Amino acid sequence: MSKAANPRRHGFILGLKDSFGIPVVGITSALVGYGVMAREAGLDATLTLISVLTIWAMPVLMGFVELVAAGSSPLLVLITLLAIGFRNLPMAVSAMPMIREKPGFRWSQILFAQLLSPTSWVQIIIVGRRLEPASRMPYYMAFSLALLVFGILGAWIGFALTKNLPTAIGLSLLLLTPMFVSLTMATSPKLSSKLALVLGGVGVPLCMLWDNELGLIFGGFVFGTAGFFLARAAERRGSPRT
Amino acid sequence: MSTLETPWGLLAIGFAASFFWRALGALLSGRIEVDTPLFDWCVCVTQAMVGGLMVRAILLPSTGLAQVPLSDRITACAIGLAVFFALRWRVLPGVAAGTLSLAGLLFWRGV
Repeated sequence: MSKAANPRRHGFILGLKDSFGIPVVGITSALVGYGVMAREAGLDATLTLISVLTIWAMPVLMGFVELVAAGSSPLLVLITLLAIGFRNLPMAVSAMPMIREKPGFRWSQILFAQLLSPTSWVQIIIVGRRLEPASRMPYYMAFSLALLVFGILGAWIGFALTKNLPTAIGLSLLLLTPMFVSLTMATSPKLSSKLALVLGGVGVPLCMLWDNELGLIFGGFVFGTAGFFLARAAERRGSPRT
Repeated sequence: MSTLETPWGLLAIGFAASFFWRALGALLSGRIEVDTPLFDWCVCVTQAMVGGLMVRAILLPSTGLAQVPLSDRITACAIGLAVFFALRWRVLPGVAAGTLSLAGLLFWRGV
């Protein structure tokens, strides 16, 4: 564990430093793609930037822009985004003990949870253990805020520059965010999550051809469940007999 | 059209859906175990939905990507995936390879 004269300041500066590099490049480029998609979907600049600030989760943002572009009903948007956003629950549950400075619940933890992203979650879970407790919250805040600021900047760049870019570049940027989200989710360590992603990638669009609204929910449920049980069966077959 | 059907209304729904789980997670932190089959199943449903939406955004897009020939989109994704796997599941090089391949194919077509 590192010791510093001012652990809070040390944590904050270290968090900023660690955010620059791959994390900021990844978030900024993904959000450039989101900005392009949001403009294509008919969102205005203010709505696009506020959506990044308030939703702050790439899968939910992508779901949001896809559903808005498809003209989906509010009920479908709510059900789908609640289902997609579920991933935030286990992330918040497991990250908060690392960030909180005193035992028990504090309202400030709601703000900390709102800043959580898969990148900052991985970072605080891995790096947080190496920091002294007083440095962890400032580290997390600096890291997460840097990602948020660059994410909003990326979305603005994508939104503002689309019209001035050569058509080939503008169109290719529309591929960036779906690929980023899919590949990021494919790096999940669990076999069940990987299988569900692949099965859903094949099956859900087919279900949506049958019914654009119900197909998403039905397909997500069926293919997610299939991925879950297939992984359990594979793990049972792979585990040694006792 | 009701307020909820406007883009701002849909954004309010998106925010609520995202914030709900975060706030609940902060409240339940330290009180529940997340490494359970039920949580695993819920994440699987999420993965399937997002996987489906992402594949649809590429193969059946409602954006300008629909103007791009399907063969180009599939080729670019295949190149991106190949780089992703070749570099041991590294996301950024995979995404960069896919996006740049598509840009290259479109320039080659004179778009």
